[in-house]
Amino acid sequence: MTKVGVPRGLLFYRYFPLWETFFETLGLEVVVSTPTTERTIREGSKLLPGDLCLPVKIFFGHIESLKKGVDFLFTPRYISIEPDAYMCPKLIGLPDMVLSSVDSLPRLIDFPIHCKAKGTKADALFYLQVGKIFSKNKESVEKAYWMGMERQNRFRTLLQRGFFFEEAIDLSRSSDIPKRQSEDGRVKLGIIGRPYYTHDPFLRRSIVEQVEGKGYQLLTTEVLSDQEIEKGIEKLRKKIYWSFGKELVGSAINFAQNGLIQGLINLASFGCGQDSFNFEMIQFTIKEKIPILSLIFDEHLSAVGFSTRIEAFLEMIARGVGQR
Amino acid sequence: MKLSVPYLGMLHKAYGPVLRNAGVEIVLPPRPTKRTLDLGTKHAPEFACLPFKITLGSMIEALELGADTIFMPGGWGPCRFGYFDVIQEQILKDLGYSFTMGSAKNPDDLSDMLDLMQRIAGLKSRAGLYKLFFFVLVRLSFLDWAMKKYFHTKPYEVVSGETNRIFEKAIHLIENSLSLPQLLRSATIISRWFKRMEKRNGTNPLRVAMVGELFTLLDPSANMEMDMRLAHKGIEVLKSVWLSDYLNDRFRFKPFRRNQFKFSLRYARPYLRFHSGGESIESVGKTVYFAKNGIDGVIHLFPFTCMPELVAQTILTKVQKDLDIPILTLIIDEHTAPGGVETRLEAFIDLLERRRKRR
Repeated sequence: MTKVGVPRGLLFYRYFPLWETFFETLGLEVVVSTPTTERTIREGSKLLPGDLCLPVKIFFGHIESLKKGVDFLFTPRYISIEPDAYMCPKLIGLPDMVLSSVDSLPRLIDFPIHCKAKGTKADALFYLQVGKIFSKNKESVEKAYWMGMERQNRFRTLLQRGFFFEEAIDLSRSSDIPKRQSEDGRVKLGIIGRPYYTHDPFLRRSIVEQVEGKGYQLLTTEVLSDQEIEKGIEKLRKKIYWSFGKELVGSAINFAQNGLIQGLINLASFGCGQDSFNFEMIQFTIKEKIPILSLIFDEHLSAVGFSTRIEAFLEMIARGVGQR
Repeated sequence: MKLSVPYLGMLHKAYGPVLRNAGVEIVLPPRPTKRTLDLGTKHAPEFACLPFKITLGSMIEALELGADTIFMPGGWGPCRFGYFDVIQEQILKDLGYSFTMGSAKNPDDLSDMLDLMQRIAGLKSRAGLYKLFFFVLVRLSFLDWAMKKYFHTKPYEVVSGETNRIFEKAIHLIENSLSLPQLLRSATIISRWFKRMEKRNGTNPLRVAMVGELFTLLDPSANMEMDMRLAHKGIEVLKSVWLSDYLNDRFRFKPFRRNQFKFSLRYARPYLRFHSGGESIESVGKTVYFAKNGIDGVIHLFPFTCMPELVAQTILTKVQKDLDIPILTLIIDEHTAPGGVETRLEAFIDLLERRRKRR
C-alpha cells in the first residue's frame, strides 16, 4: 500500500483529522511521525539556520525521522485559508525550505492553498489536486474530501466542547459526538497560543500538568467559535491580516470580556515575528482587565524555568479569586 | 499641519524640497542615531524588527520637534510592515503624544496612496497631487541612479575622494532640481562629471552584491553604511532592491525599467516558487541572477526576527552550494556593533580575494 507521511508538526495540530480521513478513504496508508522529543528538536536544529522559530525546527525534525519509510511526504503550502488573511511567511515558504535543506526526500505533496487569490473554494480545489495523484476517479476524491470535512467538523466541535486534542482525534472517528464534559466548577484559565504550541505534548506538558495539578482548568483558543473570535477583534482599528493572529487576539479579547476566565497564559516562540505584534495588541487591549503570563519557547526550554513563573502566577490568581 | 515621514534611504531628499515648495510644512528629525534606536527599543515589543524600532524612535524625535502628522503607509502583506502603523500609533498615543497617523488600506494602489497624501499633506488639487507624486518618484529614481553610478565608479578612482565629492555634488544638484526639465539637465551634467573623472584602467575590482530586506539594505542607520564602507575598500557594490525599483513595480513610472519582482521570480523559481512576503523573492532571485553573472560574493542582510528573509536564508544555503557562491549572512539588531560587522566584512573580503587568485 502507498504510504503518505504526515510530519507531526505545525498545521498537523489543526487539520490532521481531515488529512487522515481523506487519505484513508482514498485507500492510502497514513504514517505519522512519533511524538516530539528532545531528539526531534536536535535533528531539526541541525538542518536549519539558528534564528528560525522552534515549531519550524520541530517540523523539520519530524521530516528527518519520517522521510525514509514513506512514498510521499505531505507538506502543503498554506498561503491563505481565508480571503483576507495570510498565514505566516514561514508556512508559505515551507515546501521550498524543506526541498532546500533536507536530502534524499521522497516526493513532496506541496500544492498551494491560496484562498486570497482563488476564493474560499481553494481549499476543496487543493484536495482535488492532491487526490488526482492517487485516483483517476474524481468522484471518489470528492467523496474522500467530504468524509474528511465531516470528521474535521466533528473534531472542531469536540475541541469546542473542551476535549483535549488527542481525545478529540479519537472521538471524531465515530459519528456521534459526546456531550460536553460536565462542568466541575474549577477555576478556568485561558491558554493563548497557536495549535502547534498548545497541542504538542512535548511543549505543553510542563504547563498543563502543573496548572491542572493545582486544580485549574485550561481552555484553548479553540473552545471559542469563529463568530466569537470575530466579535473579539471587530473593534480593532485595523483588521489583522494573519489567520492565527486573528484567532489569538480575538480569543484573548473574548476571554477577557466574557468573564469566564480568571487569567491568561500566552505562549509564543523565541523570535516569532507575528506573536510579538499579536501580544502587543492583546496587552494593549486587555491588560487592565485580566492577569496575563507570557511564556516564550526556544530549543533550550526547560520545565523548571517555567514552573517557578507558573507557580507565582497561579498564586496571584488564587488570591484574586479569593478576594472576590 | 506639520508632516513627518520616517527615514528610508534617500527618500527624504526626494520628497522634501518638492513638498516644501508646494507649501507643506515638513518636520525632519535628525538622522537616526544611537538615541533614536534606544528610544525605539525601549518602547517597541521585544521581538519587533529593527526597522520598526528605528522608525518608532524617529517618530518620537519628530513628535518632540512638533510634528502632528506622521506618514506610515501600512499594507496588507504577510510581512509585519503592514501592521507597523497600528502598533506604532498605539505605542505613541500610550506615551501621550497626540497626532494623526496617515496610513492607507492598500498602499500599493495608486488611488489609495493619493487619497492618503491628499489627507495628510492638505493639498487640494488632485491633478496637482498626481503630478507631484510622480515627480517625487522620478526624483527618487534619479537619486538611486546617481548612487548606482557612484558604486560603479568608485573602485576605479585615481584621486582619492573624488568620486565622493562628485556624488555629493550630484545629490545636491538633484535635490534642488524642482522641475522635470531641470532634473533632466542636472542628470546630463552629472553623467558628464562621472564620465570626465580620471579613472584607472586595467583594474578588475571585486564585485559584491548586497541582498536582503529593503530597509536594512538602504538605510545607513540600519546597515551602518556598509555599502559605503565596501566601496571605500575598492569593491563594486550591487544591490538587489532599490527603493525606486520597488516603487516602480507598484506605480510604473519608469517606462524603460522592467518589473524587478517578476524578473527576480523567474530566477528564484527553482528554489522559491511563491512570494513569501517582504523581499524574499528578490533576495533569492537576485542572488541566483548575480551568481550567474559573475559576482564574487553576496552579503545577505536582514533584521533579527525578519520572517520573510529567514525563509530566504534557509533557501540561500542551498543556492550557495548549487552555484558555488560565497554568501555572508549578517543579521542586524539593536546590539550589532559596527566593529563586529567590520571584522566579518574584512574576513569575507579576504576570502573573496583568495578565491579570485585561485582561479
